[in-house]
Amino acid sequence: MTCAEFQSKVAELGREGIADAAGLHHAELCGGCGALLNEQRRLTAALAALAGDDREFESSAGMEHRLLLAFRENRAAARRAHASAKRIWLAVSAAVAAGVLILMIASEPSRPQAEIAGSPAPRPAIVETPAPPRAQPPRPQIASVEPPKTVVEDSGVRRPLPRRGAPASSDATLASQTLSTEFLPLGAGYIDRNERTQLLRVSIPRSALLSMGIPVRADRMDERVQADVLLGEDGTARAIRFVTTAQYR
Amino acid sequence: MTLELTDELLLRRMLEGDETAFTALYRRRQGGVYRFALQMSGSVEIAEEITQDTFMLLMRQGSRFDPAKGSVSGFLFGIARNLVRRHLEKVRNESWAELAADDPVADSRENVLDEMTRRETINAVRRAVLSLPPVYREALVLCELQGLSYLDAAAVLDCPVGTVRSRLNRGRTLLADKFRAPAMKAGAVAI
Ligand SMILES: [Zn+2]
Repeated sequence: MTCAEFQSKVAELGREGIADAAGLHHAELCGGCGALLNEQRRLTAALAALAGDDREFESSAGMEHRLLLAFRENRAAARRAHASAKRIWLAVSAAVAAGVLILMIASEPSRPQAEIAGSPAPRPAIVETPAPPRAQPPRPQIASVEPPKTVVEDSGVRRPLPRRGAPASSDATLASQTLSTEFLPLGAGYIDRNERTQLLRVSIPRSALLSMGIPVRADRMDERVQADVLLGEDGTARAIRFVTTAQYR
Repeated sequence: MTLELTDELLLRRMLEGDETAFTALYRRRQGGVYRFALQMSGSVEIAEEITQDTFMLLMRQGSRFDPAKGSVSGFLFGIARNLVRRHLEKVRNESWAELAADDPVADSRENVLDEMTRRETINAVRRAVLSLPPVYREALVLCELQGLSYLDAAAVLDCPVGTVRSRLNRGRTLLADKFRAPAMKAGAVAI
């Protein structure tokens, strides 16, 4: 072993007391390298003395108390933030649910089929659907949506135009018989991809559209429009779209 | 018989809001963090501040702990190390420049460590450690004074084990050099 080889490992030899026969043999024969090894051994002892001396050192007694107070404050702040977020969510959900309820109540008297047939009033059609907004969650641009575009037909009935790329209803019959706008988000409008949704067909007086910020001509306030309301698992309305019925086939 | 909860379990419970778990973890680990900060900074005040900040950060960022990357103790040393580095960078223009300067501990005696009293030795080694460049100092403090393995130190320093090894050896060589009488300085001993 050369001096250079020995010196490259002398720190480890001195630290760990490795039984490196070749190294120890060189240290015995070579005075300079032997001195280096002794130096490293003394250093090991000195560092151990320092570590031992410091072993008793700790942070001040008051620190534990200060940190404990901070811990409690952190917990309290986290609880406040959680409660606040929950309150906001509940308020938004309640507002949306109330809106849908109003729309449904407003649509109740307009069920001519039920009245003509004299049968028990049919419940709104509920279509379980892998709703389009699930596969394609409400996009930001429809949050600031314009009212659905309409055309005036010869009959004078205004028909909503489907938007380009508007998702079609998953119900084959409906799809073949109806035209619809895109879904417009209600409230937060967020739908989890894994959430099961339901589609609720309702009939709404045009006047109700005003509450959604959709302009309505004053002379057509009494007319009704059909809409599909997308309900989340918790029963809150997440989105709405307007549809035309079979009469436009 | 009382079972001692692991650091990991204490941390998990602490993050769930268990105050007792936080206290237990603090009592178990504060000493090591404090001593590391003291040995790195040489200041009781800084060590106190860094220890407090380390546990404050643990409260807020404890969920970042990844057992696959090391122990809770190593995670705490890692936080403390970043705080120490920030502190050292801040003071580099002031006292740090003096500390980092080449200030040999050796005097006219052939090898200071041979002839010092125990107290003198401890004080001299402490000063010599503080005078090492931070990159060698932290390896030396973790492995020699805190007793971490190369592997644990590598996790704290976020570098390969081989790097820890070479930094430690370099740190020890620099340290030994500080205790050597001028006539024994490197070069003079190389044959
Ligand atoms: Zn030699």
